[in-house]
Amino acid sequence: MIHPIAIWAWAFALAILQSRSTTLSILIISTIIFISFFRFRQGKSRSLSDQPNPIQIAIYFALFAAVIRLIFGIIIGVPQSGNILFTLPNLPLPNWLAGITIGGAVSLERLQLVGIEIIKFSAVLLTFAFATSVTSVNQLIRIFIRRFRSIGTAMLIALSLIPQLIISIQRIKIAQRMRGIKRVGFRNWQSIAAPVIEESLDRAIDLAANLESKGFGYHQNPTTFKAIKMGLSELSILAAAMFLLLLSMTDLTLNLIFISAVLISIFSTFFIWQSNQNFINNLLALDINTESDRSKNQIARSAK
Amino acid sequence: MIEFNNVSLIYPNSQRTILENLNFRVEPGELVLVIGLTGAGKSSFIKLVNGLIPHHTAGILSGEILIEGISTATLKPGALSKLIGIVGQNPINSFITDDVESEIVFTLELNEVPSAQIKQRLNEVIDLLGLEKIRNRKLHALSGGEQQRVALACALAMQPKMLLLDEPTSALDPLAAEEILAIINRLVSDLGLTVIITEHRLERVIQFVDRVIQVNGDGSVTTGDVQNVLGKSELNPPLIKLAKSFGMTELPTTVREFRRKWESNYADKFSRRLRQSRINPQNRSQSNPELIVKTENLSVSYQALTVLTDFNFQGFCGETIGILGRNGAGKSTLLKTICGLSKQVSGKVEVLGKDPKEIKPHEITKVFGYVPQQPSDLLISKTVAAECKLVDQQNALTEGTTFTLASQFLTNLNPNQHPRDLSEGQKLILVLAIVLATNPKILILDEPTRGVDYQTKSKLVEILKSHQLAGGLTLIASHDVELIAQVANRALLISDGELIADEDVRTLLTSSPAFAPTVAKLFPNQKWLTVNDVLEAQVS
Repeated sequence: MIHPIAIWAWAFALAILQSRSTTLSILIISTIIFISFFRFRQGKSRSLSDQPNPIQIAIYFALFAAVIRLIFGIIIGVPQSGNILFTLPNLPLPNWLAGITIGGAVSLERLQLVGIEIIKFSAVLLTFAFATSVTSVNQLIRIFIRRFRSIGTAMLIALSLIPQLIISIQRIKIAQRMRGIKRVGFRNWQSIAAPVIEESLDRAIDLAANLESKGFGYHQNPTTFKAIKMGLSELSILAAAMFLLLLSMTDLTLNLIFISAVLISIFSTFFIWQSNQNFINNLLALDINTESDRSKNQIARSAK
Repeated sequence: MIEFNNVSLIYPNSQRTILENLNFRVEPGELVLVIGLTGAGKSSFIKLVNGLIPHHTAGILSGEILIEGISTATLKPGALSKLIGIVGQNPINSFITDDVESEIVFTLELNEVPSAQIKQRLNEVIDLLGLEKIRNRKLHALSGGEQQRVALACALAMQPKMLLLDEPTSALDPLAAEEILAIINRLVSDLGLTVIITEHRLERVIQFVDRVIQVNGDGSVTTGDVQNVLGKSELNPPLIKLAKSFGMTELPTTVREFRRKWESNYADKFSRRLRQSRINPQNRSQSNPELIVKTENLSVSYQALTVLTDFNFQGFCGETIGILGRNGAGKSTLLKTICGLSKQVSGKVEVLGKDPKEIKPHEITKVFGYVPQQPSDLLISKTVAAECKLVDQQNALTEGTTFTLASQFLTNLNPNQHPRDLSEGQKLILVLAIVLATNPKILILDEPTRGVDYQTKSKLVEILKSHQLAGGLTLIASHDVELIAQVANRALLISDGELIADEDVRTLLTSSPAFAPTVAKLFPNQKWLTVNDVLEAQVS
């Protein structure tokens, strides 16, 4: 079990790298390493259920965005020199819109640029989808709840609603099809939206009431049970994340400031980790009930 | 322990007072049942005790509620979390974490239970509620009954002195419901827990109850023991109804009590007449009825999970078929497959001789009348009148057809009301009107009586019976055996996706103890299912 903070830190760092890099190879290789590493470490952590698979959703979403981007990339553009592939009929625009053309020549360079953007976007999406699939955002939220209660409540409610939302939309669509209401389009979007919103609100209120009556945010010092501890592997993942961030920096002075900050933080974390593991663990404590040997050992250790 | 002093409650922007000048005490170790029509204010009552009203839900409260001498006005619900455990109607809505253990542990952690004690308490509640097998499972993959047990475990892990349960069994099959209620009863008698419970299906809880509170909906409240409250109330489970109609002075609360009374005082007077009478077999409307639904070797699966296997059954005109089975047995899937909504289907489904998937969108409403588990899924317009008009337009009916039908069902229907402001029961009836306006061949109801009171239920029975007389086929999947007993003439029993029994409703319900309605338990030698059966037998 890897601490979710480590996974998310790596995902964020990778996302920054992906969005800043212009080389295709770095983009693709880093994404593959990230995914295969956790795939290997965690195995399949999600059980078969009716919950939608985040990776699948991310793929659909990326495809959708890619198509949109491609259409816009072809139709709207800035005049650019290069190998012209084909020419679309040009729509005349007023003078004050000088920089933009609608239609007109489409160059190879422009399409390449669009292609790289699409890959970037999809890589970032996939990275996060993957992080979600191995850790579940709920776990992360539970760490932050301890620090930021009111925001934590709101986030927890929002996050637990999203998968339920997809399920209710599907259910309501089915019900309305059986009532003979034809395909839902822009005109009758309200017919889906009204019941979905009503249900989500009910659900949010239920959850909030439950949190409140369980004493959420009332008691000041929640305890932890079987915390996942920050170990050497977590720290090395964090260090790798820092390295990725560095890679994405291009400006030299920024780089220097950043390198020193990162080095200081790594050293101090490492120092603290060695002298007193409890500090980080208290800061990032996550209670998870895995009966794995490792956490058992840790419990035994902390009991001593 | 709990004390209500002159408590009045009204919701903002509402004309109706929920409670007015209520004075009431709950002693430690009592099991109190709260009853009332849907929307009368039962849930509000529960929320008041726990302080969720006024701290969480807006409500204008006067008077005070004392919990162990401290007013809830000064306490947040969180402060009471160690004292009061609360379990809501839909536990799945209120789970915070992903799996069973984490959910229990999380509650304990929030309440600052020392880490060393957590393990002990966790194991205690897991043993107590029999969660051993599912302790590492994901919450959303559990069945309704299991989810309810987990929610109960979370509440009990805090070792509270009081437990508030808001319709804990409304989503459960009879066996799971019995299990949950037996656990609650055991906690009351073993640990002296104080329990306040709301429930519509009184037959399930009435035997355990010390005291009953009836929330009348107009601000007044009737309290007293079962005898007093149910004696005067119109909300009667079959047992009480029958006892009343035989003129029993002391109302029995269990099947055993009824039978003893019956044997000693009433059997002689009635038995001769009763024994002579026979239930006349239900006459089929046609001698050679039209075949409507047919499945052959039907199997349905979701991903790797097989939900229905080798399902063979036929449904004819003029039949009402009750579909019984435990939570997750495949009842809803069967209904969906018949409607052509399931994806991974092998084998054959035929509706009117056609694959249901090939029925064109504009024909759907002529063939199917589908009432989903949440009837409100179908309601989309801003007023009841607009909703009905939409149905007329879509199906080319003469204007006003749907509304006339709806107001036949619901006498005081206001056309300008927003459909979402109707009570749960009214919504169900309105949806039935919408669905029946097009005269569908098959009426399909998925768990229609969840959270619905006796009044609405008898209305539903009326509507279903007239649909049957008109020659329609009705399929009802329900946990409510009393409803099935009243309307169905045939019943299917499904277990783990297999068809276990397909018989006449009387044979099936009287032969299976798990699904027997109260009347069948009271008169095990007869083939009676409902109070009416007995009364008719008595008259003739």
